[in-house]
Amino acid sequence: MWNNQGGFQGYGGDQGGGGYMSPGAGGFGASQPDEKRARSRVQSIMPCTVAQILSATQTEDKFFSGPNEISQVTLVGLVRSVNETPTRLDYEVDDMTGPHLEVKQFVDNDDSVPDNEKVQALQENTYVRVCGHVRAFGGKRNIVAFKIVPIREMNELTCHILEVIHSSVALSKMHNQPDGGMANVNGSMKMETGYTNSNTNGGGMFNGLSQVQSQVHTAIRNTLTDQGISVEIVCKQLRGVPEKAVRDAIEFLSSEGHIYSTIDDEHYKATDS
Amino acid sequence: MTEDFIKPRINFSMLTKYRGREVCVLGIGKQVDNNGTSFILSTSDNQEVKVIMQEPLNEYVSGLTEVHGQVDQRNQIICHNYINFPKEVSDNFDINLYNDAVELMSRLPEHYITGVPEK
Repeated sequence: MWNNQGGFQGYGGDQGGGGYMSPGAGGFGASQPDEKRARSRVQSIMPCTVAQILSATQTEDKFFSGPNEISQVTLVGLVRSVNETPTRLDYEVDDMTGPHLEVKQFVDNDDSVPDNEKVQALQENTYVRVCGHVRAFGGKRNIVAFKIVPIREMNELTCHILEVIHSSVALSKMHNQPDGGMANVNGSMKMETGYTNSNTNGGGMFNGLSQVQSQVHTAIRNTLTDQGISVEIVCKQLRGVPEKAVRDAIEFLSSEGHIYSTIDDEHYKATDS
Repeated sequence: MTEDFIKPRINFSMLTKYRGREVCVLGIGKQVDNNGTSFILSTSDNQEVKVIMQEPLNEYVSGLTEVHGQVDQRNQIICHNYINFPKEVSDNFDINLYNDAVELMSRLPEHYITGVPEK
């Protein structure tokens, strides 16, 4: 998911400090009272499957897949049919998870527009990336796309599949750990996704660090001085942990960008303290 | 759940489980037979499956290819549709990562949602 403020940034447009994990401020009931009547803008975009969209529940004009809002979505699928009119391109997109999904794109393709400026319709049997809003019309779900483009390589398909799974897993973890979740939403985004090969220590923490790494990180974060905390003092604070383990944790945290060395290699500060 | 429209992405190890069902297999096309009536697809888990065409092929199927079809009782695929990707797309495709994704989709159906409940 990308924290997508305008709703029209398109794929990959993530705002600095936005938040990979965040479902967006709007989603947590943080809207002001005078906005209740006005339509609140969707803040985030969710990678999902066609099946997820078609089986989502609907309240007013928002759609939900379980507890997750999926009003603004991105998906990758195969174009099965194309219908062109001067004002609209209608597609049926299939990502193999369910029936074909109607995707509409509003365009200005009437005769007064020169041919080379017209929006070209995409071809059947090609894989495309769709970004848009879920809508329901007469009980039928469809997508009004603000972006629909052919994918450039098939790795994007693999990436989308993994993103769907990842968003779903991350969001359900967030719902089960409300404290950890809120900290991630309100604070700076840590991007601790835990997809690191060196982190094979079980990673019981949601943020992907092992217990030792997490303890070392906390010790370093809590330092108040400009020159940071020395490795020696970290070892003293974590008395039960062998020095080698502390140094290994420091090396990992440093390479991941959580901490940085200050006056010398023995002193560190945290990047997010 | 309407299973009719789901075409799960599978690899070779899942063929037996999906016998009789419509599936989607992404792999590398090799070796078209002389009549163009079948070809071999090397799956993402590095095994070979025979794809049987309903109409003879009129082009060489090589490189990255996606086959939509039904798994028959002999673990071959009766092809209903195929997409052949160009060389540039083939060359930089990470097939091992795709295989991991296939396995994850199968292991985590609550996170990769397929099927729409009957109304």
